[in-house]
Amino acid sequence: MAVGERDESGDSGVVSAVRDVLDGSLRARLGVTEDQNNLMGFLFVAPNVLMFSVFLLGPVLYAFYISFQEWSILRNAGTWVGLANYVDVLTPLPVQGGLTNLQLNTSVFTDPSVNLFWYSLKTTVIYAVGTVPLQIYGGLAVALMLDKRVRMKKAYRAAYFMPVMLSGAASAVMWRWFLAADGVINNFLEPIGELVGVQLAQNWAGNPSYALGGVMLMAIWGGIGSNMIFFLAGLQNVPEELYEAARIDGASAWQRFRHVTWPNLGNTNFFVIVMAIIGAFQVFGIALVYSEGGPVYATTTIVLLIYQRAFEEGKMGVGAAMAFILFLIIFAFSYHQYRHRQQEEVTY
Amino acid sequence: MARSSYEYPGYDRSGASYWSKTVVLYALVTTGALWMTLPFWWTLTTALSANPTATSVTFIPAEVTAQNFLKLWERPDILLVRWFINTVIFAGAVTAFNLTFDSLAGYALAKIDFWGREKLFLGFMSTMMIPGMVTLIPVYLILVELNWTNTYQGLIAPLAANPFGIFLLRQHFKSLPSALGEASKIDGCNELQTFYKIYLPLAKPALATLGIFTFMGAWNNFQWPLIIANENEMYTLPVALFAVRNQYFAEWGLMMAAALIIVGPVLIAFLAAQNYFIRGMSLSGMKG
Amino acid sequence: MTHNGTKMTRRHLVATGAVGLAGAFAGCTGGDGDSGGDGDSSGTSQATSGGSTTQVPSSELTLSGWAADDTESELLKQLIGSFEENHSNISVEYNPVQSNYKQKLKTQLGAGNAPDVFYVDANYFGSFASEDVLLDLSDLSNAEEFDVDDFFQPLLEAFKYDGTLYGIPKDFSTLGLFFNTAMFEEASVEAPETWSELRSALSAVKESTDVKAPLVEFPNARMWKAMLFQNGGSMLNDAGDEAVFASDAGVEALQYLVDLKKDGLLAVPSELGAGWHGAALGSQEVAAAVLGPWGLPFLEENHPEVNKNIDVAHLPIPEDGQKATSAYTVSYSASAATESPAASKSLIKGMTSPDGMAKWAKKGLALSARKSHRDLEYYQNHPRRKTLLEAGEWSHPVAYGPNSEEIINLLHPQLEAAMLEKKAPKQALETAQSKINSEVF
Repeated sequence: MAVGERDESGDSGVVSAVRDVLDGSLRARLGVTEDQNNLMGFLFVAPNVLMFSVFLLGPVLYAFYISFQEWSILRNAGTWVGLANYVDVLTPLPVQGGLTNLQLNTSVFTDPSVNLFWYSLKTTVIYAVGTVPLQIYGGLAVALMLDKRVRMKKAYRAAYFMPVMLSGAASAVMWRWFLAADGVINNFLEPIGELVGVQLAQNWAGNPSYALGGVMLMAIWGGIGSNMIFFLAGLQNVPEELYEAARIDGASAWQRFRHVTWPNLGNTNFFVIVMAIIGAFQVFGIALVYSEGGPVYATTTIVLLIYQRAFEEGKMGVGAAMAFILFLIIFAFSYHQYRHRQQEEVTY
Repeated sequence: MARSSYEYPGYDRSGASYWSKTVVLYALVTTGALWMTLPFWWTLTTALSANPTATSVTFIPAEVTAQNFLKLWERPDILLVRWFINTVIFAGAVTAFNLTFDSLAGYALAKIDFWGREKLFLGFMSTMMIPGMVTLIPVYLILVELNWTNTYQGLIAPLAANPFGIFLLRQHFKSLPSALGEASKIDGCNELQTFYKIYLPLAKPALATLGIFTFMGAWNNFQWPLIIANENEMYTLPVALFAVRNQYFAEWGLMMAAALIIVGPVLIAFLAAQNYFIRGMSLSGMKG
Repeated sequence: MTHNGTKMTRRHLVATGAVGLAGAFAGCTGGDGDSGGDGDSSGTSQATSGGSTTQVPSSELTLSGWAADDTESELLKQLIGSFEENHSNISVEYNPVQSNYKQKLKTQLGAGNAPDVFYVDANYFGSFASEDVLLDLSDLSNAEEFDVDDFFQPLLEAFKYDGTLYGIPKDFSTLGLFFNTAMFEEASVEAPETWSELRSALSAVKESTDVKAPLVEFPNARMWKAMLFQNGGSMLNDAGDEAVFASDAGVEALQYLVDLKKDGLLAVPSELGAGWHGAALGSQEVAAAVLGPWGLPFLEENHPEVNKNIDVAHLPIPEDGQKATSAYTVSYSASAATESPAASKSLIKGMTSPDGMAKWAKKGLALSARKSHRDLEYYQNHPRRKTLLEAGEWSHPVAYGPNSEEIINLLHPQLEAAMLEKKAPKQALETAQSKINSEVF
């Protein structure tokens, strides 16, 4: 990631050459040999290297292998099926026809019975598009408001941060009640609806058209607080002189935000967007606990689909194949954002 | 804080425009804060109602009873104490392992000059890119093979190390002067003693931050315990809440009482040590 | 077989670099006892037919299942106790598993450390049997005084795979029409016997009482599976290798339910305050529900006053239709890798013998799987349960072969789509059927 590279470049060249010389002389002074340093270094990192090999790197390779297997949890063994799992998951493709007359096959996105993977990918994208901007810019708005001279700032900050402390499972159970047909939210909506003559109260969780909306509402509610904290931290790093200069130049509040605050929040913004989207693509717990993926697949997100295939139906091979495709999507996105960010930095 | 004053030079604090802006500002912040906190209030009032209905819990509950909590306590399939202990053991052990392993590695990567150090650090950091979903299935199969399903070690081991902790502690150790270690070595301390006696005590604030952050993450973790714990006795609280939901669906009073039991301890800890939590959160934002 | 599986997995691990682990799970497999098991089988027939224990070598068995509550596990412990008294050389350790039982059992079977005897739900029985992890129980069907013909035939069939018996029904449940007699009287209607009578009864109840909805049903239309058979349809063809439920019979049945919902005669739980049928009946939000015997203890305990008014009738059928209902059943089965097959069979036999079954059924949560038990005093005193028991004769277990779970997973969302009026019933059923025929078979 960006961090590592920046650190390395910071250490490179003359600085690191000098450091090497100094380290060497120090080592000589202390009587510590290079071998001893190597040994100690390795011993100190050994537990982590072991854990990462067994629970991260090994499993990634193992998952890749499993994705080519038809796995039976009952026999705890698999049979090699080649690309069959990938084909099963991805077909019918969102495009059809030959290379010359390629057409979009939108039915995979509109009908879950055509291809559930593409359908749940669409659901996940809708979820991401609907939640991420509101989580981030809601968080930014709150941070900007609280960065001003507001009384009881600490209490407000605590209030916005409270939902962040919550387990997704707990928040899903709570919102399932608030959004129930006879729940608290409808209790508010009913009189308003009567006033304007519209049926506002709905069976929010039981209706396929609204169920995903409930999950999204919950995610926005739980996501604003953490982004607020990130932006509050980011705002501390904006040099005050810049505001001063802008003020002397007669810049309006909006201009100050646009030309001083916003460019200086670039790093925070990049991080927050990447994390939020990666998180959104892996949404699972709240969708499972809120509505178990239903009704009629309305809240079946990709990770929920992987969970159902692998752990409820025991199709580990299919699950692993889906997980790898999701990995590729997330990787491509992060890489794209990273390159985009680098280009932006050059233009500043 | 970098900026001691929130006032910008020449900030005009009088006149109608200032006051109307202030009113709008407070109205917005307060509405948002109500949206954030009212659900907690509804959870509390529902949990304290015998027959919760939307009208009876919205603001002030009509009657207050501990009956839902008693019911939870009495049901034979609801093992509140056991689940609570499980969650404490799980989150506690995950935190302890993370602090130990990550501080060792963070120290080595910051202060010991060994072969391949920078490459290893890069390697650790790049594991942050791996989405948890990819390793879920193979790790589960490995643990099945080890017979570690439904055990504490199965719950804990896969979460015992975390690249973010390594990064955080490496940055912290890097910020401490190397001269301290050199001096201690001249005094005859070996590397481990230098780490343990000199640097570790200085890293306490970073450890506390990372500790709270890790503990909270494990306490609220749903996905992994859901997969590895298939029996009542081994559930952690979030998974148990899911089981209670499936068993007692629509008994909202009971379910809100169960939700409160999970939320309560974390919320109390948060309100008591707000700054640590928020510091942990903003540090995690510094990764970028 | 377990051995092969384990070795193969070990190779996978080595190949992927997790070598360090391989040593740690040596000796985890249950396959070591296979040879001992072969030696036992000669004694099996005597042991099971004679009921005496002389031929069964002394064994320690583990038994695993789930228990709804403490009284149920206490009852099971009593049954085990009396079994141990009669079989002094067999000791049984009972390990009840709360929730997620299937997942746990599957991983235990995969890891080779499954219990000797365990419950298997008919819904996933087929997937177990087709993977050869269950012990052949054919001996028991020949055991004389065990009287295997006394079991309801559909239930016994549910635990056969390729003609071989791999499980003995532990108990079962059927669906019946639960209705509130007070409300029906208020609307001056009788227990309906046909679909059209049901419809008019529900309309009358809606008119004359203040229920939220006269009937409650899940969005996945649980009762539709029974109605399909009543209407002359079937889930699978006779060979069991093709889904045929999108027939006119199926579409008509689903259309009937969807129309009830459209006309406000049927509600799904999320539209009510109750989470399921029992709670909806108990809170008098509805006047009727198609429910199984598990609803009775709930009503007896939590709504004793309302319970007095709840009666149970056989499901209404179409005018020229046939009697049919759905059955949910669970077996006692044994692990193919058990070290003590003879003792395991002996235990299964003891638990499901006429005597053992009679004691078990008195719990009242599920029904005795034996036909002759309709004459038990217990059922004479509990007429509602007797009604549900009688229906065992014409019941269709919700179990559709080795891919049963998958079939249901593909079918339910389509039923849901129809019930929630997102799709026409015909289109929903045809989608599910073609999906199942192309993906499962």
